[in-house]
Order: sequence, then structure tokens, then C-alpha cells
Amino acid sequence: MESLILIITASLFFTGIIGRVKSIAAGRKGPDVIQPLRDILRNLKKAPVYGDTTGIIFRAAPSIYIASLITAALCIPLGSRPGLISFQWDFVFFIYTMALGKFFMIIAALDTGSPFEGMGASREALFSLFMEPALFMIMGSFALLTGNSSFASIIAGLHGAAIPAAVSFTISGIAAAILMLTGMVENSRMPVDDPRTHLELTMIHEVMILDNSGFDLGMIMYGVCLKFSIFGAIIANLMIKPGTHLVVYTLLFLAVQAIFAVFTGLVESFMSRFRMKNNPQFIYTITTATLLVFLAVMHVAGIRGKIPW
Amino acid sequence: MKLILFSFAVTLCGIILVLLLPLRLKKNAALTAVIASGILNFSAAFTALKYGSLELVFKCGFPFGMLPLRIDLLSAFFIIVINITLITGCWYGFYYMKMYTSRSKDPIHWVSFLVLQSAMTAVCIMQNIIAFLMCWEAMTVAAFLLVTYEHEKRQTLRAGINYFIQSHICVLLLITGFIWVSTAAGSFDMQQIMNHARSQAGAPGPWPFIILFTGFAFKAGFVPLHTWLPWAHPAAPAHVSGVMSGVIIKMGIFGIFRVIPLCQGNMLEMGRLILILSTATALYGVMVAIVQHNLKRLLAYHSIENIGIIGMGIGLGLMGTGMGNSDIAMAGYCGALLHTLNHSLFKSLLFYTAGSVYRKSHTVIIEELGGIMKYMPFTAGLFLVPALAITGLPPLNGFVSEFLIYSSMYRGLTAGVLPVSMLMLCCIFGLVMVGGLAFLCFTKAFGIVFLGTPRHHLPEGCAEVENMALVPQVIVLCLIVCIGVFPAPFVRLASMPAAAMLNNAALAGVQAPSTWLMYSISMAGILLILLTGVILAIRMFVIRRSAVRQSPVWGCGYTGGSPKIQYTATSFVQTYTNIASPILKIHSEYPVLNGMFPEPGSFRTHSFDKIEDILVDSNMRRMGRFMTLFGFLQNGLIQYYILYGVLFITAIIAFTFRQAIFSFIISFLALG
Repeated sequence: MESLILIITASLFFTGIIGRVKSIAAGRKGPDVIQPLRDILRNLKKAPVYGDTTGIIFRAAPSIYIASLITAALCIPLGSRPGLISFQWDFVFFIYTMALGKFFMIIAALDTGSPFEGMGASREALFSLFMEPALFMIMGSFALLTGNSSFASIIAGLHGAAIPAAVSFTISGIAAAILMLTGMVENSRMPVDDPRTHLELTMIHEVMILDNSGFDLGMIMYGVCLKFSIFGAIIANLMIKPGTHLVVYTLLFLAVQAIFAVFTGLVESFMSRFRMKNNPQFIYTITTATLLVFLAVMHVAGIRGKIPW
Repeated sequence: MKLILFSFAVTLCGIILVLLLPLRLKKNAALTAVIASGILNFSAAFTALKYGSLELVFKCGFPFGMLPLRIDLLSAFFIIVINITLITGCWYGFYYMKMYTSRSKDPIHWVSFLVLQSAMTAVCIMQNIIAFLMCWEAMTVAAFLLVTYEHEKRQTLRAGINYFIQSHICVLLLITGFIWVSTAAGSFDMQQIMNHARSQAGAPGPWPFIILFTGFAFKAGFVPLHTWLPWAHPAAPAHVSGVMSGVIIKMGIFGIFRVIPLCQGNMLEMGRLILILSTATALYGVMVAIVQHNLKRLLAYHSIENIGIIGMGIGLGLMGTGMGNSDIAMAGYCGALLHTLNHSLFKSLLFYTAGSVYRKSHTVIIEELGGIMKYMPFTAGLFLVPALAITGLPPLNGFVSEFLIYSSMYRGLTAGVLPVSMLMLCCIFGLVMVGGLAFLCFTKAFGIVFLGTPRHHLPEGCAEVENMALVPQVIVLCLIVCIGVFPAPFVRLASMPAAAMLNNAALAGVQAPSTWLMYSISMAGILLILLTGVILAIRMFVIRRSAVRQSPVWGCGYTGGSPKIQYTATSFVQTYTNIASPILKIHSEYPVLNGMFPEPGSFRTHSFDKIEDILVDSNMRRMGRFMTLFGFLQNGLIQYYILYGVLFITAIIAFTFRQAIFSFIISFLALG
């Protein structure tokens, strides 16, 4: 439960920090950190406008999306404290629950019958296909390293006494780097997608939600923040030694989230978007980079005699 | 046990009634008989589950000898799976058949359906291999007659004959394999054959198992033996497609489970082989499914994918048994059996809803459909839920069985054997990709067919099917949700035959997947549903007073509003098609546009099955070319045919008396 509170707290400021970093890097005065929050609140109060062709799927999808994200967030532990949903191999549930929300967002985009939204839906479905194996492979590797099976027990065992801290932090550092890139692709940020562009032809996520408005749009905008901080939370779990005092842990957790946000902002400021054609290759490269984690784990496990060579 | 015999009697009465009653009552009689005998089968199966096994031995003369009927846990599980889909299939077919105006083919159709039910149940319980093969054959023939209902269409007849031929290659392999093992064991009784195989580990070598596995793989549709499947499923009426995809191909899975004891001694190797083959099957099935234009053909390729997932479970079970690790084996077998049940539910429902769409819109070409949800909202909902389930999303049943298979693979990954870990990693990767590709495929199938606006003019009267036709579909839907949200009892059901198989294999520490784990999954699923409900309620509450407006969707300034501007199925997966093009085989036809004001052009793509092309079609062409060398023999002149006959008889006689003829010639020469 603590993890959910922290994730929600972090999500409130995440996109704000990204915006701040971008405006500082560009030398602008820029909006303050809680501006995205004001936007979301304003949208939540607005009356919705629906497209003529849309039906019930379009109206229900954003709610299902948010519900799936919150359920997924409940799976995430906080150090050695398990999340509300915790069972063996719960990360399979975590990934598939996130996919459920995405499924509904994609079919909602197709519900409008607009050519732009169909385009975004097509891209989103394809890119998530390439992104999906990354987390499975990382968690599988850590399961092999620790011999544990649930999210919480894997995190708890990762920096345990059995593995030297230098080794465990190196491996989880690689995993965290991959997860950062994964999180940026999942949230359709640079260098895969540009959320600020005004040209529909070049967008992925933003073009899917062109027709959403009012309460639904507010939820989707908050969904982006939440998804960012979910990925940030996994990274924080990998990088902070569990068993640290809760107050210190909270501070470190928020610091990791902030670093992730600053990193995203810097990437957005200094990189340009890839050509759409190159995106699948880039994403697949990230996914296959998870093999590095696996190889490192195999090596460590081999040294520790867990796997006879 | 008597219940099963009663059910056969009920089916027999049903057949007689169907033949005697007037045309309009035939289908009522058939439906009643199917439901009645289905219920009898259920009660027999549940009795068997309660007592472990039921047995009845008949003493028959030639050709059977002893004819044992035995319902063990495996048969009981499959009898339950089969009869659920047969009942819903017949019930749905009762309404679906209204779309055919001609009644003349009805008797043979319904009689075939009844025969199919009995034959499939009999396949599950016949333990004498001769009787088993006879029931298997009856099942194949009945299914052939059901598939070729619209035999006046050339395409349908072709598909049916393709199925018929390949089924007989399957039977040929089965006969070979069974004769081999029964000669080795000296008995026709399957139980004795299996006991014999267990008692002398590895004695007959892996070949009998491989031959039988190949035979059953034809029926189940493992790649590359799947080529009949994508033709037969779309050709059949929707309820028959549902039954075929849901349960008939599952008989192949049943057969594989039945002969697993034969690979005693090579469990690990066989498991590895099946796991790799199944991963390839699943990947190939879904990769080809994505580019299909015909909704039923797309679903047929998804059957291949799901057979692959089931096969992965079987392979994992075998590997676990070979490694002596009961957790891997249990989760694998249990996942495979549960996925068999799950797939029979969601795939049959998908076929029924596709049938409803066909009934009302007269097409299953995805590119011509669109916006069906506005005309048939319930059918759309009934398609969406199994589509989510087949993608493996929680809280539905597909997730539970895929979760079990994942857990088996992760256990294998962490088991601490290097080659196994490597293989498991690849297979996890494979299964994740299968999930992702299915995700792409079903967003396309649901989104393009049911959402947006119609891409072609829909016929008059395109509206929801009658309420009664929704009833069997809703029953299937409830089962899907029920297994997804409360998996514990169903996992226990699937774990019973799995545990029996592992105990027979003398594996230590066999226990069913923990009930606590299943409760956790249902808690998580319920939480997800509750959260969705709460958020939808909040949404309703917030927007209750606001003035909701309708307006045209965003067209970037273009307000033509033509449905042609929508994304089509082909364009939705265009990027994927480009990436996957080395594995797919797609023909595109571009017109050549000339001049300043060219003629209206059109663009057309066709996807083919590359494996079918390489393995079957090109070889058939080669064989055909070889055979034409002998074409001169068939010249249509009757006197020549008589001559061939005379020559043949002479040759036979000469061969029989060859020694006498030789000695005659030699003595003749010697005399001379």
C-alpha cells in the first residue's frame, strides 16, 4: 500500500519536472512544476465532446485504462514491503494488466473511424509488441539470480547478503537503464515519439487521443504521469537497498523518480525524434539488450555454483 | 459407466428420430438428443472424477477380443470439454442454420452432428486400439460431412477433401504406431500397452512415440502439419467451425496425452522437441493470422497458435518429468489441460460471433466490414470478451492457463540446469511474442470489424440476431469469465488428470498448483474489475450534469466523412507486414497508372501460407508433373482398359506360378 501512495505522489510531479527541465534547457521561463496537474484538473471538470461515430468502447476505454494502471501499480513492492497484490510470478499479471488498458485505448482509437487515430493505434500496437518481452526477460533473469519468484521477494533478495553489492548493483544498473528507455518508449516520449508535435502524421500516443476530451482526456493525461512513475518505481526498487529505514527509503525513492524525470527532460531537450521507420529497430534493440542482464546473471549464478557449467 | 451407454442409446434414438420426423422438427430432435446425451456424459465424467476411474469390459469376438471401456481422469476431463462445446455448438447451430433456405441437406447434417458427439465421446473411452481407431474414423467422417455442408461451392468441397485426405494420413500413422506398440506389448488394451512401456523404460525406443505424435499432430494442427486447418475451418458453417476448432482438433491433444507413457526413458529429449516445435507452431500460427483478410481464416490460424501454446505445456510437462522436477511438470500439464478447456470456450464463441456477423452482413472479409457494433451490440460484446481472453489478458480465462505455462517456464529457468535455462529463456521470449502478436491481431480484428463505420454497404436487415441465439453464447461467455475470476476449482479439475499422469510416471512430490496462488489471482482479478467499476461510476457522477455534445471526429480540416478514409485491416498491420515479410508470403497487385488522368486504379493483396506452399503445393505440383508422364495410359478407350485388366491378371497368374513357369522353360530349353 505504501508503494501505491508513493507512486501516486511521484506521479503528481513527474511530467512537471520534465517540463521544468525542458524549459530550463531551452532558456525559457516556462510553466511551474504543478502546471500539468492544473491542466489535468481543468480537463476533469470540462464537459466532454464525443465524435459522431464513437460508441460505448470510446467512452469506457479511458476509465479501464486508468483502472488497469492502478491495479498494475498495486503489484509493485516497496523494497521488502510487498504490494497489495503479491503472489508467485505476479510480474506476469503486472505486465498483462498494463496490456489490458492498452488494448482498450487502441480499440477506442479505432472506434472513432478517423484515419489519424487508426494510424496511432497501429503504431502503438506494433511498438508495444516489440516492447513487451523486455520486462519478462529482466524479471526472469532476477528470478534466476535470487531464486525467488514474486516481485517483492525478488527485490528483497536482489541486494541480499548472498550476492556482493558491487555485482548486484551493476546488474540492476543495467536493468534500470533498460527500464528507463522502456519507460520512455511506453510513454511515447523522445526519441520514439514527440508529444509536442503539431503534425498528426508523426505522432503515436497523442494522435490516438485526438478525439478524447473532458474527464476522459484528463484521465488519459494522468495515465501518462502514472505510467511514468510506475516505471520509476520499478527502477527505484532495483537501485535502492531494501531494508533501509522507511523515511530514508521514501526520500531515495523520490530522488530516483526525480532523476528519471530529469533524464527524460534532458533527452527531450537535446535529441530529435527518430524516423518512424527506424523505431521498431530501436525498440527491438532495447528489448534484446535485456540479454545482457541475462548473461550477467548466468555468469554470477555460474560463479556461485547455482548452475553447473 | 452405464450412463455413457445410455447416452449412446439416446444418440441412436436421436438419429432415428431425426430421420423419421418431418423436416421442420428435425433440428429440434437433434438439439434435444445432443443436450440429453451431453448431460448423461457429464454425469458419467463427474462420477469418474469422483471415483478416479470407471471400467466396463465387454467380451467381444473378432476383431476386438476384449473390449474395455474405461473412463479415467484424462477421458473424464476431455468428455467434459467436448460436451460443453458440442451442446453450445448444436444450440447455436439451431439458429444459425436458419440462414440456409434449402432444408434438403438438414437430415445428413444433424445425423452427422449426433454421430460426431458419440464418436468423440467413444474415442475418449475406448481403450481397445482397434475400436479406438474405428471411432476415430467415424469422428473424421462425421466431421467431413459437417464441413462440406455447402458442397455445391467448389471451395468448400476442396477444403473438405483436403481435410479428409490429411486425416487419413493421420490414421495411417496411428495404425502403424499402434501396431508397433501393441505387438511389443502383446495386447490390444491401451492400459496394458502403457503399463508394458512403463515397466521396461526405453525398450521400444522413441520411434513409436514419434510416429503416434506425428499422427495426432496432424489432427491437432502442429506446424508444419497444419495445412488442412485454415481451409477447413472457414469453409464450414459457423457452429461447425466452432466445434472443429474448439474440440475436434483437441482430440489430437487428447491422443498425445494418451500416448505420453510410451516415451518413458526419453522424456527430456521428447519434451525438448515438443517444446521447440510448439513454440514454432504458436509463433507461425499467429504471425500468419495477422495478415489474413478473412475473419474465419484468421481465427483458424489462431487455433494453430493456441495448439502451440497447449503443446508448450505438454513439452514442459515432459521435460519436468524427465528432470524429476514435479513443479515444472505439474504446472506444464495443468496449464496445457486448462488451456485446452479455455481455448475450446473462447474459440468456439469467436466462431459463433463471426457466424452471426456473416449471417447478417453476408461477408466475413474484414476489409468490407466495420461499425458492426452499432448494428449488433451484443454480438460485438460477445466477440470482445473472448478476444481479450485469447490474448491472455486478465481477468479472463486465457490469462490463467498462460500464467500456469509461464510459471512452469520460469521454474524451468530457475531450476539450475544450463541448457534448460537457455531453452526456457527462448521459449519465454517466444510466448511473450505470441502474446504481443495476438494483441496486434485482435485489436485489428475487433477494431476493424466492429468499430468505426461500415466500409461497404451493409445489406438490409443487418441487426442483432434473435435473443434466443444469444443464450448459448452467453453461457460460454459466463464460463470464460468464471474461469478467469475464480480459477481455483477449474485448475483443480485440470490438475487431477495431470497428477494421475505424474503419479504413474513415479514422480515424487506431485502436488496441484497452490490454491492460495489461484485465490490471489482471483483477488487481483476482482480488484481490477472493482476498480474499473468505481472509476466508471466516478466518471458517470462527474459528467452527469455537464452538457455532453456530439460533433464530427477530427479530420484535420477535411470533413468529407467518407468511410474510405478509415484505416483498413491491411494498413493497420502494414508496418508489421513489412517487418515480417521474410516469413510471410504476400502477393500484391498494383495497377500501372499511366498518363495525366489515369483510369481508376485498385490495389489488392493476397496472403499465402509459405509452409503450405513449400511443403505441400510445390511437391504436389512436382508429383503431378511426374504422373502426367503416364497420362497416355488413360486414353478413354474401353478396349485399352480391358487390355490393362487382362495384362494385370496375366501378370498376377504368372507371378503366382513363377516357379512352375521357370522350370517349364528350363526343361523346355534343356530338352531342346
